[in-house]
Amino acid sequence: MRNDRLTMEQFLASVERRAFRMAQIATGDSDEALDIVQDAMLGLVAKYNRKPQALWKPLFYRILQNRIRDWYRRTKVRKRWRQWLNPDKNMDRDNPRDLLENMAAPDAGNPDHLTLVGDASKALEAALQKLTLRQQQAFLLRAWEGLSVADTALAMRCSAGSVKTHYARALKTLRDLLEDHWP
Amino acid sequence: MRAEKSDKNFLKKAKDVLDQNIEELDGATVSRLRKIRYAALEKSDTIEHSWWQRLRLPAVALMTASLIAVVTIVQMRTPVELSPINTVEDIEILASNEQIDLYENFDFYTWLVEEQQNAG
Repeated sequence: MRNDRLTMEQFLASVERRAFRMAQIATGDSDEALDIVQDAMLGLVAKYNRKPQALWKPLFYRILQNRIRDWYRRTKVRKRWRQWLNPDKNMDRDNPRDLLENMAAPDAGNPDHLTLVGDASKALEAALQKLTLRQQQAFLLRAWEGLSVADTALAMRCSAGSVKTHYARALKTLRDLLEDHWP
Repeated sequence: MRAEKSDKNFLKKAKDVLDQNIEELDGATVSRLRKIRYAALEKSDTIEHSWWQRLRLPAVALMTASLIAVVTIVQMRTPVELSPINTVEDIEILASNEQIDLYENFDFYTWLVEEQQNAG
């Protein structure tokens, strides 16, 4: 029992920062990202604690990506209702929680501008935010977390072929956005 | 080949940037992540505990039911001892008060006969 707990703790510690950044890039909000990571951790220990350790990583990211998708859906619905209730007002333009508005912000997320000022991290983040959610997930899980195509498919709840397509498109888009600035 | 190498370099650069970024996470975020992790592990312990608690009551009930069933079966299989009034002879004895008195005082009558014989 003690060993199980220790193993799980080590696993969670090994993925928590990357999971946080993935959620933060996806939502554009640190607090939302922390909530999503918390849900993913709780979900993993509650449902999959007794699954083989080799499955923990894809299962953890599956829960994480589900939570991110849920967040997207909620945000979209909220935005639709706000627009319907107040069609004349440009609601929550400055609200950092509204991802869709933030993603459309032209200055803060311009990769060209950011790479020029030398902030590679912010440039990459901005470029990642230009991707569709599925492309973003495929790229981060494959290129950064190092999941196999099969594990990424499990995490993203799609086929291996879809993972490859999303990944290839993500890579192309990122290269187009950043290549000129990255040697 | 060249494109492949170029992709590799690009991916390495992206990975390095992302890795560096999480190494430089601010203390408050790292602390909150640690708290979240501990909270999840505590929840895990609670789940284990409640799993046992949920199981304990049915287990005790099942054991009690099993015990009752075993006792019942054993009792049903044990042959019932014959009642002392089962035989016809016993019924006849019970039907007559005099005879019962006779049998009850049988030792006394035996002793009385022996005394008379000795005296005679």
